[in-house]
Amino acid sequence: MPLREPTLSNLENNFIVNAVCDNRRYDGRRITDARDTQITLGLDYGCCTVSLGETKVMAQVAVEMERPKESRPSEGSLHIHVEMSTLASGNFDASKPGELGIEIQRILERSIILSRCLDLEELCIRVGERSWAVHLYIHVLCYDGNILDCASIAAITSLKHFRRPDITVEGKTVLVHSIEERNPLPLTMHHMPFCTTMAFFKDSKQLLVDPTRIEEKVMDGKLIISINNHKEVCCMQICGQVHISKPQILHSTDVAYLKSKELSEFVKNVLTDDLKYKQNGEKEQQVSLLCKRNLHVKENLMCNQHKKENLLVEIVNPITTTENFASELKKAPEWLTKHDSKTVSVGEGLINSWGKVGSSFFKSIKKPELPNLESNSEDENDSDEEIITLNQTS
Amino acid sequence: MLLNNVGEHIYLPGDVINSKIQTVCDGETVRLGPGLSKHNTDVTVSKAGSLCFGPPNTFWIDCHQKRYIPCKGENVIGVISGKQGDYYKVDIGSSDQALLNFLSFEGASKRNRPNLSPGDVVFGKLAIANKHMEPEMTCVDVNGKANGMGLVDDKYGILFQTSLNLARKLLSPDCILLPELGSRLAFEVIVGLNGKIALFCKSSAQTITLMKLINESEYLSNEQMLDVLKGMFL
Amino acid sequence: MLLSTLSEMKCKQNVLKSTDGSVEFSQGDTVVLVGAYGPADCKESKQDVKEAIVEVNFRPKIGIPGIAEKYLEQFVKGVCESCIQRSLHPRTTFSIIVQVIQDRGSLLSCAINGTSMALQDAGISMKFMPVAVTVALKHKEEVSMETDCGTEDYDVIFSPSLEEEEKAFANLTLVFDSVKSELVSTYASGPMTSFQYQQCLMSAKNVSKSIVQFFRDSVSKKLAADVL
Repeated sequence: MPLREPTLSNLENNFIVNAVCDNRRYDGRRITDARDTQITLGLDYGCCTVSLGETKVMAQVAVEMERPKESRPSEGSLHIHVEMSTLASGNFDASKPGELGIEIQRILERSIILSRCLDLEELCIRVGERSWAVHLYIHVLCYDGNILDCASIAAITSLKHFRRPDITVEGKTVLVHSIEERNPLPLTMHHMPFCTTMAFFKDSKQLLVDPTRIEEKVMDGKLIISINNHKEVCCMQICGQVHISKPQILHSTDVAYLKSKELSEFVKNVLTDDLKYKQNGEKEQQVSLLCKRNLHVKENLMCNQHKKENLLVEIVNPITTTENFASELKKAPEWLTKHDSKTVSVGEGLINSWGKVGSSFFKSIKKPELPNLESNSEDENDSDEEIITLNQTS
Repeated sequence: MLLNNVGEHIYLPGDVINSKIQTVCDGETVRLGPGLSKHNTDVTVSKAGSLCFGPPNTFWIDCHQKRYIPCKGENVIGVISGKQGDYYKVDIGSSDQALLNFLSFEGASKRNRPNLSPGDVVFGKLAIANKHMEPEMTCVDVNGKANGMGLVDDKYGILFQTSLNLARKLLSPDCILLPELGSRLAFEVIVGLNGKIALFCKSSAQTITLMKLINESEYLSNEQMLDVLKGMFL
Repeated sequence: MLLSTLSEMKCKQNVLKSTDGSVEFSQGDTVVLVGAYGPADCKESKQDVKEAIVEVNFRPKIGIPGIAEKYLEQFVKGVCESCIQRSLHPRTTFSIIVQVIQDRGSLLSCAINGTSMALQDAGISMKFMPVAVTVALKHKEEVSMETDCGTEDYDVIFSPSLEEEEKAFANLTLVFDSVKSELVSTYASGPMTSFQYQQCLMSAKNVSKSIVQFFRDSVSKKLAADVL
């Protein structure tokens, strides 16, 4: 259930707009600075967490087999799902993506799927019959503005990091090899498009790269450019009330290109480092920082690690403590209704009358003649079964 | 408010601290502050944090918290979010929005109403705060004077949210950050106990630097703060 | 006496700016991210005039939450309802979101320990902190002659990995309170004798104390610099 969104004050609003006019930002960055980018890779293939300042996004890639589309029988498919959980911001509804979520999903689809950066033909197994469907899940973990840039880095990194299981096709049967059996294969990517968001202020005269949450609330509008390291624009979108001139767009494209180039180098380095780590057999989660401008003291203080010596656990044998347990049982049954030395029940139900009557009770009742029981001669001899049938009829 | 730690001990929810209290105040009446409660004969901790003692007989738990829980008599900063009848609705960061009567301003009357719009920042005191009702704010003291409370209006200011313990730390007489800064720089600051801080300096550059410094001071001791200040104002 | 190892724990507090309290908790290779909001506003239709309501959202990494996640949600919700002092904040919500980052076994105990730390980080009033331990019972692959108790043909594994959980004939997650180490809740699957259950319960009880100590260390580490 979504919570109320905090109200933005006029003080913040005016301050940010005025500071932008002086070429300043309230968090101390310059106009064209992006926040610190950090990529964390886990043990799972195709999973990474990217943080851009306080904004945090996790991406996970998964594959499944499906029947290819009739219109494109020799291609696999790529699907992008954006999950805006309440974790990211109290006012997000976990059950529906909302306007922001849909916007991010659409732009990522245009930037990644429509730019054909992933080789879909390679994902075909048997033409018209079987192909791989790649699912890219984007989980927004913390929202402090500019989810899109963060999500696009996470998407590209996880697609690059992912390995799909190897397969053998024999006639019509498809054999999927497990990871232990054969080395899994990476996905083929032709290029790496990264999105850059630029916010516009003051009648679109002033430009800011990588807006934070408050800046996004105050801005007039934004320009989103997705560009790869070959300087090919993959997607461009203008939102909000802005009128941007031609030189401004060209300038923004240059800014986006420089950022994209830097990021693609960074992602490549992170992935090669990760391979080295894996080969060395180290399991540690790997953390990489793009720029170390301000590492907080907080980081070190907040992290606590269990010492290895404390990890040994002793398994206690209850035999040594049975006496305690038995005495505990004698003490405990305040909430148990005790009937006799052997029978207790939970709650205050009726007293069991079966025990008093004893086994003679059953013998006194005639066995009902049911046709299905008669057919099974073994059951008749089984005394347990008899009681059950008696229970049903009485 | 005096911050004398009773030992260096950290308590977790559920811990019983009878013996600790007895060593300080034996046989006396004690007052239990936030994070402590009495169950039968035991005093139990309900929040994770360090035990604090204020003479003569008050104990409380100091813990990290971001969400504000209204408490009567505390000074808070709020943002007007709307109107409801004779009241303004004020966002103070708690679960319910606070109410602020039109007449709770200095010199306000039925004819002469204050003119506030959504987004305006007000500084006031909580007149009513309990768990069953919406909190109510007031911007006048018992004599009907503003006494520093009311609309916060300044062109070069910024409002930002910090954790509640940082706000308490800044307001405590033991913390040297604000007095030390004041001796070196001219600025105006309002600290609300709900973790909202309004800061006004001469230029936006100064405001940005001070805001960063205040945010980072959460995990600095007095000595470390002095070092940082010395580095900043050579 | 048998010995087993508990997997290494890591806890990073206050990781998300947006939530009131958040924790990245890892137990071995299993990692969860838990965020907590509260006491927060609540729709009038859902409000309870006597006490706060607790909502838990369990989010898997792949796909949308299904029945399995709903079941875990209910389990975590039950644990949270028993430990939070809900009557202090009537008409409000406590919202807890558990996001799985990496699942390598003993997910439930990791989620509960993470939730416990996240509630603590948010400064929420609690009666106790829940502590969870996952135990797996596995048949011995080859019977070795050196064991002290020759009659036992199974291993007790603490914080089992996914593989061990799969091979085990019974899995058990026990939740204790941090004060008296009393059982709060149990999640069990697979058949086991009462002796085996007792054995797991007794040993897990001892383990829970060391986890509480870990919680204590984490909190004091966070607060160390916070104190004037």
